[in-house]
Amino acid sequence: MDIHRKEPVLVIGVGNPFRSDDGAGLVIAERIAEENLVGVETFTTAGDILSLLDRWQGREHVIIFDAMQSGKKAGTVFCCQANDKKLPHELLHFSSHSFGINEIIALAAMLSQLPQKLVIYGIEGQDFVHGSVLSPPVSRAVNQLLKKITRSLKKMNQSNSVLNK
Amino acid sequence: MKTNQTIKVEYLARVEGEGGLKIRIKDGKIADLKLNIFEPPRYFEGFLRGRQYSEAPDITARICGICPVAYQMSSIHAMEAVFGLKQSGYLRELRRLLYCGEWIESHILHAYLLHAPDFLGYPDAIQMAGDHPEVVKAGLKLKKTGNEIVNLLGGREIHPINSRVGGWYKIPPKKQFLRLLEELKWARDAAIDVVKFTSTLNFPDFERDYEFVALSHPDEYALNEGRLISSKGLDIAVDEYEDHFEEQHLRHSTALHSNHKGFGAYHVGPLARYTLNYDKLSPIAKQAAQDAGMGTTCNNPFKSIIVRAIETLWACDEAIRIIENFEMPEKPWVDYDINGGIGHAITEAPRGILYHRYRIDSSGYIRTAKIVPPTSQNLRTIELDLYEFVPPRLHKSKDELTWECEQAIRNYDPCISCSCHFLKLDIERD
Repeated sequence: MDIHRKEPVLVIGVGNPFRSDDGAGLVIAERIAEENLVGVETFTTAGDILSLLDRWQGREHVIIFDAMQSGKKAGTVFCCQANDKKLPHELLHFSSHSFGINEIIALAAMLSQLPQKLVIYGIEGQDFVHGSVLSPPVSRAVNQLLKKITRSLKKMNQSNSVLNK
Repeated sequence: MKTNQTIKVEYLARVEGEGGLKIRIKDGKIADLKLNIFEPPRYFEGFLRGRQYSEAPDITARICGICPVAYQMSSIHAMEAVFGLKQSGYLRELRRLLYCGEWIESHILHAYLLHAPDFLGYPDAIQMAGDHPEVVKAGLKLKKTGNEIVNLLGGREIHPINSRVGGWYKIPPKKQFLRLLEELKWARDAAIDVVKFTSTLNFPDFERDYEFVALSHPDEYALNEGRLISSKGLDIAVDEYEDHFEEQHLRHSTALHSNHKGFGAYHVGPLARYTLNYDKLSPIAKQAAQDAGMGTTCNNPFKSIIVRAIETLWACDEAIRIIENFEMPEKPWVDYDINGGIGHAITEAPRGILYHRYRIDSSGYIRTAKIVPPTSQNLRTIELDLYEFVPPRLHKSKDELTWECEQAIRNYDPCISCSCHFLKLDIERD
């Protein structure tokens, strides 16, 4: 991917593709990429999420998808905006990764490096065992969330193209 | 002051992996001290058996997300030792370049985001970023420079996939390397500032007479090859490693502890390399070390943060040298014949020497594998540091002492994920 090309919307999927439901965020980003939506760029990462600080620099709208392990029912979808002044408590236990999204967002906020709009979706996982298949409840949640997100991204494109005419 | 107490750290923070520390103090003396490593065993040596020799670099790279290049390099060199292959010319230089990328990202991650907060009194890098945003920004940019080297040459930033036995799968065109030069030159200047910054921190007055062990090469700051030497006179070929070093299984640790037979604990990593190979540093790195008030040896483990900065500067300088002399090899790899045998290799991971040994059959299948990561070689030395570090500080509050013990452990940038994985501190006063 050309990192110098900046589409208005950047979709980021975070996770480990070999730890079952931990890969939920990756699956979503990959399926959005398959849609080839105008104005939408996707990026997936299985490792160094510190690089996201640089990746989202100067972006208008960034959407992150990641698995979470907060004790809620498997398949529960959590959503919040990082630019909210007060982030919800759940975010502190948001990611299954050791250097979590929450820490990266806090660091970005300290360094004034947050994108204009940063939306985070967390999908509560059930199985984090070795494997590359999502559990049924997470798979269902991923499909529902995908429908909602692609619809909203298409709608956003339409209104942008109307505005640009 | 309490003469009997227990200091307990359930989980060590800002280290890679899961472990804890428990210190029991009785009558003002340490009765027991253990680094508990409870990360589950990883079984890599077991599941490498029966795999093709060519799979080892990519499988072992999965042991660590921070130093995958080290695992690739040690496994590749071990396989090449079996096949009687010796790398030379620019194929060899490119391996050094990839390793420089990993050293830059690993050293800067530790120095800025994990270790510097200890010295400045912050619980983490996020709080430190609030007061020192420009320092943290520069650190992140420096780290990115290392990532970009690994990304270009390795195919991706984490768990690179472009190294193979014999050389590389593909070598990117020269112009892509040249694009890195400008950023690397910025990084070299920035690294000089990192050396200056780290040298202004306050260091505890603490030194020990370590046996430092590192690779040594007659012509270069050793990364991929050389003889294994120590500050107590050891000088052996890498295939003699197991004649001199042994691993021990202890109840409190899922990581094996290493021991230099007849000598005991030893110290690997930046301090060992700096002390044993100072003369091979580039002039700019030596100058920065001198300006920072460093001698040609360093026995204070807290000053490892300065040495990591010096090695980062050296790695930027070395990467620039390699890129400026770029020559596209005729072919990305050299051909070889597969034959059975035993191969050994040691390379210098950011945290110290990483030993691999494989026995391969005549069809190229791995029959046995042995991997000794740097952190397991340093575990006993960390415990011995604490045995000396804690007693003069028992008058301090439990919180303060716990903080300082964690800092003493972080001097080694322990990668518990590699050693099996790591800290939980437990100080018990009876």
